Amino acid sequence: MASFSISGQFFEPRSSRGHRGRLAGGPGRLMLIEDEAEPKDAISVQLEAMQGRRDVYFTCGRYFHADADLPADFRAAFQSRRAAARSWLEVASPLRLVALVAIVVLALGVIRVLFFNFADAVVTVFPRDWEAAIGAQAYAGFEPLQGNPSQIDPAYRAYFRAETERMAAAAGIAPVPALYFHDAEAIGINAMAFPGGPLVVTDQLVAVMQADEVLAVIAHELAHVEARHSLHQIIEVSGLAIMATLFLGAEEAIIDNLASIGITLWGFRNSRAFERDADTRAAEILALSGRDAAALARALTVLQEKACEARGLEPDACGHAIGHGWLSTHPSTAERIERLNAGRP
Amino acid sequence: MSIEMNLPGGAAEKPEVPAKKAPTRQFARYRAIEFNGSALEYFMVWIVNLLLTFITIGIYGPWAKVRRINYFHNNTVINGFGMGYHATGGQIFKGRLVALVIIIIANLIASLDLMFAVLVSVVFFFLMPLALNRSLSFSARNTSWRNIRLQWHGNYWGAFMAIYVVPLVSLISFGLLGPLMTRIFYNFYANNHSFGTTPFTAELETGQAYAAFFTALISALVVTAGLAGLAVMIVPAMLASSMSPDAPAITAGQSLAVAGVYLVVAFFFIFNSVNLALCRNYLLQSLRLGSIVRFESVINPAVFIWIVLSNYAVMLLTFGLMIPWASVRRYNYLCSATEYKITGDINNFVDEEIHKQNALGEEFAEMEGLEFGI
Repeated sequence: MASFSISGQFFEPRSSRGHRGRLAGGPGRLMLIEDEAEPKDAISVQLEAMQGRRDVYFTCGRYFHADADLPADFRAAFQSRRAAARSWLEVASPLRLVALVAIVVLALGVIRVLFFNFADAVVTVFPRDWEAAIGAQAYAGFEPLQGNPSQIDPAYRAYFRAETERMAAAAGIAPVPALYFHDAEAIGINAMAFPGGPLVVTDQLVAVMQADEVLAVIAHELAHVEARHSLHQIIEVSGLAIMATLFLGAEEAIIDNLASIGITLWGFRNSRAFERDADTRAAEILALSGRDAAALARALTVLQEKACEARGLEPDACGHAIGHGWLSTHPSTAERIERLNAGRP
Repeated sequence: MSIEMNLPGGAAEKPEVPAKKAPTRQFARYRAIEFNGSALEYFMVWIVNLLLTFITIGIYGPWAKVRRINYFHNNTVINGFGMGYHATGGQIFKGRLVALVIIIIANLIASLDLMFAVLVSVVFFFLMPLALNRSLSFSARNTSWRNIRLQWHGNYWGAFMAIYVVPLVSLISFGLLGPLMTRIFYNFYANNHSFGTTPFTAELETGQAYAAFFTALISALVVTAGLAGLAVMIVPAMLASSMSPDAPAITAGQSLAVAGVYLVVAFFFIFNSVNLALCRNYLLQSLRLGSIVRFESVINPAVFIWIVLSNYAVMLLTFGLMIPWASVRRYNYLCSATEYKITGDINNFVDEEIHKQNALGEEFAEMEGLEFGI
């Protein structure tokens, strides 16, 4: 465009008093001219930003509001290349829409691959003593356990600890995580592994299983600690949360909530994969230490029977229903038993 | 033909012609704030933001935020003028980076030892009101209309009260003092904003706050009771058709307990929505900008709840693709339900000196989940 003259109102710095006038000039020069004023009284201005369809802000603090939408050639002359490119992308058209959605989906896929490789790398370099400190603090703060000492015979506990050390040594797992027992009615029949190590088995679990089945469960938890699954989960979910905040900007509570739901579902999916891996490794640990690898399948069978009993159902009826679906942190117990019995890795 | 006037003191002088100023319009009735944006237009803004943010692995995020806020502000039209937003992506990027580093370091320190965790919590506890004030100040100062920017004048202890004291008193009084606290909160928010050098004034009265509270309470109880009745009828019937005869008594009880949790959530959602909508209506009725502008709010709580719930459903069903549509729909409704009446000369507003601020407070508050508004 050679020159232009856009009518509207302009405002002096820090004032809401509008003056009828024109924004005039050409590329590289802008002037505000009040109606009925002399051309020599024109005010030279420098553009700071164009906003909306009609508003122009200047670096001196003045503001111009056009009577009609700013002409396209004016925008082209004064808009930065970056802003122009973005404006071009934002023009609605079916082809552009489809292309943008496709590119976003592709970008998501690439980021997923990059991110999770990065998460693996972070886990690899994360200091083990930091991980152990996190685990120790988590164990110390886990309310349902603290203040509920185990009622199991100390000799029995000592036996399990000795066997745990033997299994760890046979499988090359070092250092050996500490093993604790607690009478924890609130948690029920359960065992857990904290990051970096403390393993916990409840009295309720010991009460319903044979010794080799308890050791099979301990082998499963040893596998979690060895593979640093808890740390993996923390890093991936935290990383996803940070990415969601960065990408989505948490502009509204609803987006925050949707992102949290998505991250939680990812966490569940991850958790199911880790459980399968831990089952496989537990079978190896049992075999390496000369124990019966089928003990884990038997332990899971006991767990399934107890869970079904609590629901008042026959085991066959509820086996696949327990711990099933994308809202579950574990694969279904029946699926796990089938995999172990089939001896599939 | 020329006109000459003989003035006291001698020589005729041409009278000074006053500078031609833009005519101002005063209205006899209230007009709704207009929103000129559209779902399709905003979808393009949103998807480009998403794409650029993904490609840059989040680095573009701050510019995307500015673009988003710009879109909504620029299309919010009051008396023919859109609003302006003046923050830059660079300001927000720096603020976000520093806030992220602070939060990561604090979380790492806290995870090492219980004592450190306590110390970090205490520091954050006293840091939050500061962050909130800075956030509100940043947001206000970067928002303008007719070349005048908003200002935030709240102090640390006011923010401290709003974040901690107000909710705590409401909680320990089982909600009975809640309306009083709501009144304090709303008046604090409204009366500490100004438009340039002209303060906003508003007064949500105690009676109005309690009226809103009890209306919300009764509405929530009625709706929740209806839902509970449905649950009691439907849940056992559904279970009986799918479970063995031996089990229903136990499993129905468990299912109703789970339904009870959802009913509590539904109760608080309805209560909060109705209460906040009514309090906003009352507050804006008393809101004045000097002697020049008056405001009105006519939010219908039932309509607002419907919009929020249906938005949630649509967004979930479309895996988030309809977020732009939902955002525009909600914002459009709030604009259409907010009215203003100009009763004076809007040419007389004056602004203070503009000082650039950093966005650390805003980004820190956002990351810690602090939301403040009416």
